[in-house]
Amino acid sequence: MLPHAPWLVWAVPIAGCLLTPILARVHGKLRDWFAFLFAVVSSTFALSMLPDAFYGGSADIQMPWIPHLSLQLGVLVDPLSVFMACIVSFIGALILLYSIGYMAGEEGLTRYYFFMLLFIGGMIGLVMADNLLQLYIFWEVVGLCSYALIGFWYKRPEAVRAGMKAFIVTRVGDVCLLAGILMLYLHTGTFAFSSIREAAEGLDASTLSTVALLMFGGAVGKSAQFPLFVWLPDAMEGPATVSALIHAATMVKAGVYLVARMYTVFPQAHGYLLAVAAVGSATALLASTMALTALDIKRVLAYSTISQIGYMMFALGLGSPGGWFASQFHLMSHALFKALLFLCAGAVIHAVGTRDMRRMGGLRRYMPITYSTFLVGVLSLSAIPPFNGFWSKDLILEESYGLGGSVGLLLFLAGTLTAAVTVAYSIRMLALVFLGEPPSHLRGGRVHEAPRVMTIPMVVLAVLCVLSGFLQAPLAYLMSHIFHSASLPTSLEADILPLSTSLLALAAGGLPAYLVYVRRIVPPERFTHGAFLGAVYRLLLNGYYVDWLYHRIFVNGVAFISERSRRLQTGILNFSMLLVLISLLSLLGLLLMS
Amino acid sequence: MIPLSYYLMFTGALYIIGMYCLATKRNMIRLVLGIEILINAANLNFIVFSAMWRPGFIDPLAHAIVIISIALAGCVSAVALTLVMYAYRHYGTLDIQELRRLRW
Repeated sequence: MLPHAPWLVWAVPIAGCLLTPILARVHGKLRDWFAFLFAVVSSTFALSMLPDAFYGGSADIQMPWIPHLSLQLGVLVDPLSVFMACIVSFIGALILLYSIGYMAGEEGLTRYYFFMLLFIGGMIGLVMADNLLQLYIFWEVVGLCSYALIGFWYKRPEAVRAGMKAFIVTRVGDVCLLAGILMLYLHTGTFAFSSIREAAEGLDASTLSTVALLMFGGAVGKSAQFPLFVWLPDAMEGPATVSALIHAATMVKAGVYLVARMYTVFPQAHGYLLAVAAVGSATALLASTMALTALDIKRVLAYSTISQIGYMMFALGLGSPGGWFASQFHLMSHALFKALLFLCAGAVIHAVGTRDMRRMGGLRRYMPITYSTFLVGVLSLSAIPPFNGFWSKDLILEESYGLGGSVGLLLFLAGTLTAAVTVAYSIRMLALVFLGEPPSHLRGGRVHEAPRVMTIPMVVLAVLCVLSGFLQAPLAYLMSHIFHSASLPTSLEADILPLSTSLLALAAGGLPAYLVYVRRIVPPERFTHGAFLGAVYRLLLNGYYVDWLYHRIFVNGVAFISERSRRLQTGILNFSMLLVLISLLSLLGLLLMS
Repeated sequence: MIPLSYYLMFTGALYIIGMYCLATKRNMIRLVLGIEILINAANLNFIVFSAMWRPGFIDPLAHAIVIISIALAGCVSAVALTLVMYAYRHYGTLDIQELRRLRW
């Protein structure tokens, strides 16, 4: 371990973001490359902690923060936090490298790099925090950065609205999380992860499950799970690099991290694991069906993220060390292939100038590198062996099958069904963007491959997507230090029934999509018309009307109340002062009477 | 020695006079004067409490704070009068109820 690595790993990006405005005064290029350099330094620190953690070294380094509340500022070095810090800093560095090409010539780049570095630093700080209060502070930092970056193009009203929506919807979860943390503190008197487990054992059942569910509510908001998933598809208004960072490394992974971190605290909380599993599996299934109809390439990826995070949640909800490990393994796979897919989508958008998949097609010919790396990403996402998605997703399915009972079977079925739908929308996306004949406005050399500074991160991620599936055994060894007694699955057991079912699901989802979108045996438009199919299509296109419902209830509700109460604000100074005088006199009168 | 309640009734009355001025007058200069009366009522109240707090002891800290407060009140009225002057130039009137561009 490099000296002070657990502190510097998040302090370096945060210091870097503060230096960005100064570097920007020297030269724009210097600022861009220095932002990348800060992320590289941070990931060097993160990787340097890996060997120690691998051989079971864990540490809880503290220094006094607020002594009279006995609060310590601390960093926790254990397999989970080191693993997360490595993923975040490494993918963050690649995305910053890609940004140099992708964002070139944009306005307000100082703001962009400031918030990107703060985002990365905040997320690493979140995973390294050794107590809940510190975690909550970084949790809010991450929320702020997502707001600022989603609304990066502040001149576009949709982007501003999407940023605000992300901020407000995740706020619902954040309030739950804060309530949970404070409740836990009031009952146990501690924020620290190291002592919270013993302290929580003394709680009575109802308090414990309330705290657990409140904290899970925070994770639901941050990780865009049902029913708070509405902000993530809209968050696609930001630049593609921001989406890649939000989806692959920071923000949505924070919720998964929180649930994984609290795994040992809440196992006996009544109904908690069931809630996690139910929310996760429902989200996985619903979001994947919504991805089937989305027309915007980034929206498809957003729904697929929601669905994949759902997988991780329900693996955590299984309540076994194996399920816990499967979710972390899938988190790594997902981080790699989703970053890859978003970077490829960014290259496509860069070249074509639109996000609408109906105006794309046949890009394979013009963008060979993007095509081949995107293909790797799609194969990983749809869990085709031997790409990394296959190993982790099948581990989740196997663990859910191994749980047994009606709950396990139900989760296994939901997971398998999601896998089938995932293949279908992946093939649809690939076919609409890269295959077929290019539309007329893309012909004649107008579309070109992305510059090398953008393709290098894509190729690196694509190689890792192929390789990381085989890292299960070392990862299992790393994570086994968390569970002192239990052993973790070091490889797929290849139990014949779950494996064949999931392979069958791949075929069941892939074949129709292949026939419809690649072979074009039936025109895809056939599925959008007709009484039943049309209704289903509209239902999926509108995201099960959840967004519409929220708009009707909350947005219109607030607007209605404000419209009615605006008459109270006359804007006449004399009138307002008269009200102050009257209330003052009546207060005095009340005081005198009592 | 004059009892505390006399002082308090006096400052209360001063305060209510200030509020009354703010609530009924439409001339902006009168409003500034009303604010001055309010601040004086508060200052006086503070001094009275510091003097009555402990018999035979007058807290010098309260006096220091009140002197600062008087200086600040001067600044406040200077700024307020500047605003009034600009509002007069802009609207051509001192009537506060004419300043209603942001009203519904």
